Amino acid sequence: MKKDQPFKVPENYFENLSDRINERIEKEENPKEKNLIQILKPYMWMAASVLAFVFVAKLILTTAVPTDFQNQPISQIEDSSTVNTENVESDFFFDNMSETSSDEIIEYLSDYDIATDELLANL
Amino acid sequence: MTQITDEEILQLFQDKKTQSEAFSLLVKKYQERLYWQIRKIVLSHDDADDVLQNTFVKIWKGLLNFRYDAKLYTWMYRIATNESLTFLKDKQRRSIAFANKDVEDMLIANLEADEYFDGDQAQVELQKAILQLPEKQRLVFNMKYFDEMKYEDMSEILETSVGALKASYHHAVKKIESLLKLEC
Repeated sequence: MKKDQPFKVPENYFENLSDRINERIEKEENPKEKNLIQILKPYMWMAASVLAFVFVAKLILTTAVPTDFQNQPISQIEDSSTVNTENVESDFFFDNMSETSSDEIIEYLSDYDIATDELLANL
Repeated sequence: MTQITDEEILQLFQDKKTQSEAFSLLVKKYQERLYWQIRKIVLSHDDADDVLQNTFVKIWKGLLNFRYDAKLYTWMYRIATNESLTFLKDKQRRSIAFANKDVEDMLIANLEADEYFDGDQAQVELQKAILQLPEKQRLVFNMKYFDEMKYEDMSEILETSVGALKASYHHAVKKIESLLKLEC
């Protein structure tokens, strides 16, 4: 059997090996010294998620508007922000008042602190 | 110039100020021996380079806690051997081409593709025969036949008795001889 080593190494491989190993150890010892991409990576994911959410939300809102509604003049379209949602529950209450007992009315008034004027105006 | 002793390196390593310098001395003293130990297990140069770096990182991490229960170089050889075997198993697991094959098939392919393998046909056949040995016999054969390592040192590195190592080497030689005869 031949005992010669058929394996070779690149030229000067062992000359700079010590420096490369020290660099590698330094990196392992100081993991905080990250490059800019590594630092920004988690934030980039967050930014991408927010952008994706905004894009999808915009897409849904744009396609959800009915076609005939789109053709109406702007003046005829009631801005959803002007709808008084605070009165919805009150209106529902007054519509169904005849079916409600006095005790329930008193309880409702004390719970919601409705002014007497407002109550009279709806009678 | 006399070479610095392991004890002197370890003393320098204990001091934070001289730690880095001590480690560079240690790397320079043992880099070739450890490289060849690793290279004979993983065969390709690129893999040996990766494993050698991993080995020295492990040595760095463990050196402060090193006690003289074993010789420093047998302790480092043991790390290098374990790192090499772990590396091969991981590499085979990650490889799509060799996922369902033996590590030895992957090693033969690595050897044939390695630009730093410069063997003639007889050396290729010898390497293939070595790869047909069971893992422990392969390690013993490489350490004894190529490195001419003492059985006592081998015993510390492989944590096996001298008697068992001698038997392993004897079986390995017989098997390789018969494999090479078959090839002729």
